[in-house]
Amino acid sequence: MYRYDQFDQAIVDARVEEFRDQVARRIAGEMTDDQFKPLRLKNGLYLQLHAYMLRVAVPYGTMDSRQMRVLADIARTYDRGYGHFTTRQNLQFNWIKLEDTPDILAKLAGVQMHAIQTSGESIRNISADQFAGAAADEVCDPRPWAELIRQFTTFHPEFSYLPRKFKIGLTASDNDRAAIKLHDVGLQVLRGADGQFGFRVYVGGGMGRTPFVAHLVRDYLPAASICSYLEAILRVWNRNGRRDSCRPGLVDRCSLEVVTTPRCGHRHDARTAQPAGSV
Amino acid sequence: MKLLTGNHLTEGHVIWWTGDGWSRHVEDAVDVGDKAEQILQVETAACRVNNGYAVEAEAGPRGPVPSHIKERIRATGPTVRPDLALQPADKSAGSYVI
Repeated sequence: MYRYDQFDQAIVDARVEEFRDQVARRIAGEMTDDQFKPLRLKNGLYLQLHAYMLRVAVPYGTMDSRQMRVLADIARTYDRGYGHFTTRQNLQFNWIKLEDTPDILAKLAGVQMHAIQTSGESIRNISADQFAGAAADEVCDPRPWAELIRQFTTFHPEFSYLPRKFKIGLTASDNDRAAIKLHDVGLQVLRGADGQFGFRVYVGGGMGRTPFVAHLVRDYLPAASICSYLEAILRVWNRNGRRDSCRPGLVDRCSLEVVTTPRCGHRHDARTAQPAGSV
Repeated sequence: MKLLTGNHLTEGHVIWWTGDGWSRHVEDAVDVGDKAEQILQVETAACRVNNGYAVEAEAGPRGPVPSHIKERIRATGPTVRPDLALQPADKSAGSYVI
């Protein structure tokens, strides 16, 4: 399981204090709701039908007992004693008070958790096979790949305001327990003819009001190119995706031809590959 | 009639304008007529309501009943767990019926 380094912890701690200041300014009337809304959404805080809701990221569905105990403590102390695990492996608290949110985020930061990029038009938490690491039918544990993608997509400056939210699902099994074809990008880890790991890539899936099943766009992508390949897809979508519609589908918004066109697409070569040893 | 509603800024609760303040209970709400914008301007500036707006309603036996189903659900709370929904201010009124 990934452990924060000093930079991760410093960034998350600083983000909590930044949001604490923003909440104080909102409560003091120094910010309007229109000004505050994008800031709270950047920190996973929605205002829903009945109350505020805080969505906590559980990266690729992995957590330890210490984190689980803190989530339970938050539910008891700040909510009604429970939360809801979502289909994409996050946790939602549905009866949160605005003034408590900075303290909740501080408790989460204390166990290396946060709510960053769990809402808004951003690249969301990575979903993975719930049996990852323990499934007999997987070619490898996909979670290190999920962590690589998580680090690549977190705070990516080019993709902080996408046409719509963007979801990535990952599995290392033929038995698709992560429902990767219902994600904007679905990735299946494979072992290639050369014995190395790579990815089968699907794009354009989505759930919600207008569900889409993703299209296969690459049967085998060398693993070293995964980040640049994702960047190419995101760049095409960021440039061509419609921002005036609530339809979720990547392909629906800018067509499969645009997503896969060589001009806007991706070439696997030394320039786009991860540096050796970085994966 | 028109009611004013929104969410409590810090708690997030659904609240209704009573004429001299805000209540969690829709039966306390009053008809604001054509004064909605005027009231909202003052109450929003004072941070007493978040995301306020006016809704259509009809008079019912226990007070105003919002016309739209969404607002009736907002007034009563979650529909899947009535035990967790907001109970009426007057306990003798029984449970809310959407």
